Amino acid sequence: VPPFDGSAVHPVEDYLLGLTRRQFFGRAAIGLGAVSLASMLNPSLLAAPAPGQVGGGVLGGTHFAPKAKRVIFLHQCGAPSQHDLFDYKPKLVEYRDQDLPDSVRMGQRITGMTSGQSRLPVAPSIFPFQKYPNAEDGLWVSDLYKHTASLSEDLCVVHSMYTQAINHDPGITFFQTGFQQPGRPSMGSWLSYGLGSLNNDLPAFVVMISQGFGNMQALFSRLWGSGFLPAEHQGVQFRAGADPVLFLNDPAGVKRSDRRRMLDLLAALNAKERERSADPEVDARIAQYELAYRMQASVPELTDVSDEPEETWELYGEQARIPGTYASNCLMARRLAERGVRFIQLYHRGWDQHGNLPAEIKEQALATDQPQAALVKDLKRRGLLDDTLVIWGGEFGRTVYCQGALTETSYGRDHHPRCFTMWLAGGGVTPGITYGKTDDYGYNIVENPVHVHDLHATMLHLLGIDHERLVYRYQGRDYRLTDVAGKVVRDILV
Amino acid sequence: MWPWRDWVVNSFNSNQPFDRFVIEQLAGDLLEDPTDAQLIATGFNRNHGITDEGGALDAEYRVEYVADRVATTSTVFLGLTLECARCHDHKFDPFSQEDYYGLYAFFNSIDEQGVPPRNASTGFAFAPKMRAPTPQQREQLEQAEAQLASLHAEREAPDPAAEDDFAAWQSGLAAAAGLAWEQSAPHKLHSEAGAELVLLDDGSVLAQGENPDTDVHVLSYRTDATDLSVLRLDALTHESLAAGAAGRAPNGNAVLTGLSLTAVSVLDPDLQHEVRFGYAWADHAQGNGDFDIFNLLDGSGEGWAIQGHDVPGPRVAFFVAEQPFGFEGGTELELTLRYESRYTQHTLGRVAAAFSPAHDVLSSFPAVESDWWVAGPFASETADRAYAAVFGPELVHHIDKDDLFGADGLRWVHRPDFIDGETHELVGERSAFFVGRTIWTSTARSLMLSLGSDDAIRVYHDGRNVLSNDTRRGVAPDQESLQLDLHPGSNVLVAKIVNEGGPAGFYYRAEALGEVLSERAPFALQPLALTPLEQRTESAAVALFDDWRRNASPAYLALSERIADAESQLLELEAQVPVTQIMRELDMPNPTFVLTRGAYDAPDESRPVQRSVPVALGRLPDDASADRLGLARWMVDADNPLVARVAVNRFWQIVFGTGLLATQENFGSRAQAPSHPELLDRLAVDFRESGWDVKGLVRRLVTSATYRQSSKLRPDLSAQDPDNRLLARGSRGRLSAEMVRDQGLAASGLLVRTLGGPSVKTYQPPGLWAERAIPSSNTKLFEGDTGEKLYRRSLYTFWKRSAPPPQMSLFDAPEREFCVVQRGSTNTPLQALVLMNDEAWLETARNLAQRVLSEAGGDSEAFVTLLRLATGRSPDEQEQSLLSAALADYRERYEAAPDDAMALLAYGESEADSSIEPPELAAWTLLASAVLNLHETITKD
Repeated sequence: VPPFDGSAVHPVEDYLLGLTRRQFFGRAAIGLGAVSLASMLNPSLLAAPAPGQVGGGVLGGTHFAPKAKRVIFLHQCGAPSQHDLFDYKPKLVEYRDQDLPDSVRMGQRITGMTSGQSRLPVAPSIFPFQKYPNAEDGLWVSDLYKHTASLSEDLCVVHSMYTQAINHDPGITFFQTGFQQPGRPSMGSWLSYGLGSLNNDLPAFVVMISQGFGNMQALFSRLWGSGFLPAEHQGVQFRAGADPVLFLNDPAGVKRSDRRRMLDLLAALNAKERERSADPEVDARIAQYELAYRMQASVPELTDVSDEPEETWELYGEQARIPGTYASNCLMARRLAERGVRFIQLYHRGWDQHGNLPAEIKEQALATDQPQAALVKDLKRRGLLDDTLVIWGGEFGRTVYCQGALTETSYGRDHHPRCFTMWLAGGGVTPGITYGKTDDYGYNIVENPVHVHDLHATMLHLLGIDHERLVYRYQGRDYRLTDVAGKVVRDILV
Repeated sequence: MWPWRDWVVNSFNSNQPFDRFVIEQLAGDLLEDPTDAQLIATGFNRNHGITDEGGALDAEYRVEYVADRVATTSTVFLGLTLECARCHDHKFDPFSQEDYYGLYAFFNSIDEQGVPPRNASTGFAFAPKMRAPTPQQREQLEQAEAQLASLHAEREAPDPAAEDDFAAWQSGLAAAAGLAWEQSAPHKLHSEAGAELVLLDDGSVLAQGENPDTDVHVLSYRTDATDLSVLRLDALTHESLAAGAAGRAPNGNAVLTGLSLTAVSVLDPDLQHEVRFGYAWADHAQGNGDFDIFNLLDGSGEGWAIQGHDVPGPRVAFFVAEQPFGFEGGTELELTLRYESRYTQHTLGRVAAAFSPAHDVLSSFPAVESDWWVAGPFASETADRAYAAVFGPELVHHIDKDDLFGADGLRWVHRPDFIDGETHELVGERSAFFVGRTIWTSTARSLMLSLGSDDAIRVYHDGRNVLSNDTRRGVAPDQESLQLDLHPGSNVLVAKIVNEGGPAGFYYRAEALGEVLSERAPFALQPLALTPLEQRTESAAVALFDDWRRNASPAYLALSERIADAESQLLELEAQVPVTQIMRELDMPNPTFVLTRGAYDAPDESRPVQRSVPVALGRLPDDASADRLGLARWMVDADNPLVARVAVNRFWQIVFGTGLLATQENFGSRAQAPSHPELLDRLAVDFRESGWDVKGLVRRLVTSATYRQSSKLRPDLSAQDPDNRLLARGSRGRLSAEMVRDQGLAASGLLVRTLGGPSVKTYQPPGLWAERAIPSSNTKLFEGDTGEKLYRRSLYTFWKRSAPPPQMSLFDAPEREFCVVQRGSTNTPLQALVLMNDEAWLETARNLAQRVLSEAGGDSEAFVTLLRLATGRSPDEQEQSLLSAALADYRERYEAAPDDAMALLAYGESEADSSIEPPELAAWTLLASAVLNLHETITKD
């Protein structure tokens, strides 16, 4: 580090010059705007070269050419019923109210909620299914999801997902971090760590939550936490309302000019400290305050949807006008994608339909169907779908057998980790196909199983990352998102 | 768990030797005669998350809790990554799976559940647990208990004055009732089944001889009275009957299944009618079934049982006629007693009947409540539907155990275990339950009900809906109150409880209101006073006096009121006593097997494991106990170097930012070598030999020449040792999340330095908890504390693990879901936003400004004070002029816009100092805010 010469250079400029001199990256001329949030947060990240990337992550680029630059993960908390949305099983009507055969169940564990039931009667979906054209012989979708079905030419629907966990807390933790117990970094924080950010003044990893209808399970900070990775990689939650990022707004009685004046004072005093201590960390601090100042402008610009044309509301639905709804979050996801946020995580709560499923799933479908279809269409027409990977699904599936009373109009379904349906769109995934098959009961996978680790490996692959090489040394061991497993599902890649 | 936190704080403050610190936390419960403090210390291993997720598998979580203990204990005290060996032999360090499960076996025999039920009444603490009063609470409890005992003694002491009051009351009552008992002997006795009925001298009738399975006795009396309205039936004891009992069954019991009285005119035997009784009362009825005296009024249930087998002694019953009876010219009264119970030979052994006119007898009978009956659960798709639906039991006017309700044909089930004044649990989710009872009253009167329910409740009185609350909550007393207006005769009260998730619950307590509200309601045994004094048995006389005294003696009632106050004070005190989770060993240790790939459901029974320490670390001494205590003593044994090294390295890390061994969480073979290995050894040995003197160790570190060096970076050193591992200069680093906040509070003068106590809820943006919580969570809604609690050290901040305080998480505080011994130290714009815009920090800045203005004379003196409070040094000239220029700008700004100044000063609960002009204070507040945001302020250098 060259000695600080004490000349009257603006401290931020000096920071950038310092970086230049150290040849950490060669883009000083474009000023602060080129420095990513993630890399600013931790100067040590800058030690790695970042060819071709704005503020690259620890990988210093990708392992191979990426298909996707960003991910939008539409997590449906509580686990939607694949039987009532995507996994069409016409034979179930014949099996209605018959006990699930032992030859199908094969003694597998079931949760404490139905393990005491005297029988496990088969409950076919009461919702009609229709076939929609795709690149193969068509996609069956129930009438609950007509808008989503209209994406049949764009979706890759995986019927053969499976997981290890059978209850929500470990299930969702496994999905988000690759491990059932707390303590591992989440998907988004791995990407922030590995790839850095694509944008200048928004976080690399943004989380949004919407409330559903019905039985809601708890969410935890750990689901978007950074585990043992540095904390700057944790997801930043964007919330509905006036303060979309916590503490973003200046207090009442403080104008932007007042804040600017304070930051000028702060920068000048900090520069004196830099002089005294010779510690470059002071420069980083100054830069953080400048970034915070800019975030205060860029986030409201992001969340201010008054610039959206009328057709946006037609596409996403009127619900999108209400901040905090899934529809609004889908629209926000598009705006975040446009601005280069790396990992956009939505959580929609309320899918845990142990009883009264037909009534509750209608409400959930109503809240999610149009907006998520709108998101994919919107990305596509803006040319963003090619390099944005959209993933939809819950933490596990639901049982074909009924929990509680099976009536003509109502039934419930328990947790089912052995198979469930997810869909992917864009980002290098083959459009218009289905992948994997389940048996006539929709209970076991009979073809092309895809484990959660495989999905993670595939997602990383599409982003140009070899999932076995994005690692972090902790407690003497190299950890990765896919733990010690995971196979890229090459069959679904373009 | 805050008593455990207090224990830790006390331990450090009192400089408890570190070996004791380890032993008491790992095995305090196994020490001989452990103190409360030593038990509380074992909470160390109960800080793991505990699930109560519906459907979670108990066996799975039992394993996870033990695994957490192994990971925490081995990470914190041994610096080892033993948890790797849960699934397979350790890849790098010499630990096998057997080693892992050998350690695991020390921790898997705790008296705990994997998925314990939630219980609001114990503050959601999960067993094993203990009450942990503070010394002050203990003293208060002892005082309150002593006071209560002395009040009880005073109240129950004999009171001669009361006997006079009693006599006066009794004669008044009899006069008011207008009773004139006619006690004649029957002139005709008949047993249908052939028992021998003998008339005794006192007019009572004794059954002798054969004792048939069932029988009907008919006794005929002659009277000249014409306005009779009360029949008194005495069931008496006799030496020929089972010891002291009034029943003839071998066990002394009796069941009267029918009673009828026919009045026949002596003048015109065609003139006759059956006397209809509208009310009945008995001094005792058997409780474990449908045996109430009221059964005799309508022939329902199992009749009236006297419970002579359990409760010896005579019985008395009254029957009040709906219309006066007795013919002019004499009446033949034919009393029929039916003993047709399925319990054979249950006849009364000796009975006497008496008749009386009365003009006000009904008001002396108390309202009588039957036991509870429960029907349900009636399952529904949702709680909302269960609430809206009608299932049948809510409509009944009579609780009949033969009625069937709903598709599944549910019946009323007798629940004598439902004691009034206690909460009761019902099991079934998304379901409705009906809890019903009959209340008989002789006159119209009112009860004041206190009800509780989990969740929603609707109350029906004879099929009429009298209260509804569609709510979701845990059950507690006094959630609803309701005045129930009883009509004479039987009243059916049914509460419908609708449960969403978890257990359902019900609570009931009733207080009788006087007929005129200011008057006392009749007490339970009051009708005994209606019997003639000379015919009252001694036990009845004593019981009546006691009951009268408890309910009507002014002296007694005054003391009762004081006792009630003392009891509620005691309850209040007890409710404040924290309940804390501890370790408690099962009597017999669980067998331990290696779990294949660490899976809870795959124990490998061919690989049993005994409690043992990892082979590579030695072995437990032969004389050591094979339990946690033996393990803890082995850990701090002089022959075991690891614990002292790990501890010393942690204190070094706290003081210098980085340990001598950089990876505090891993002392294994994959760790970097220590920067100063001999120093680590030396410090560890000295630490142990000093008697594990923690304060001495810290003093040694912070007074060292190394620590007291300037932390200024020097290019020559940075080139050779960029991370300053060799400590040629002082270390620098950002303060931890908690210290950043505590320092700000301290500088501003807001900090409240109180030690110990429960956690506090400080400022937090709204909605953070609700958006993640399940609907029934006890931490769904955040309610912040007020006053001093807002300014306690961050150590005491309440922590919801699924949504920790963001101000802490953003400064790298871990979520506390698992053990972390080394934190990150990041530098992000979100931190800048917290320090600039969080309400707490705006309040801190204003208070710092107020403090500076009150302590300093003029601007330049104030600049010095401000900077000294925040950074510990004075500003130089250039800094003075920078501050001065900013202050001038802000003064101008806020003098022009005093409303903005007021708005800025309104943050936080503390009041702005009104002696300072708002524009001036606002200007200084922003200046103070800037200083609190300085790199130097939040950096330890």
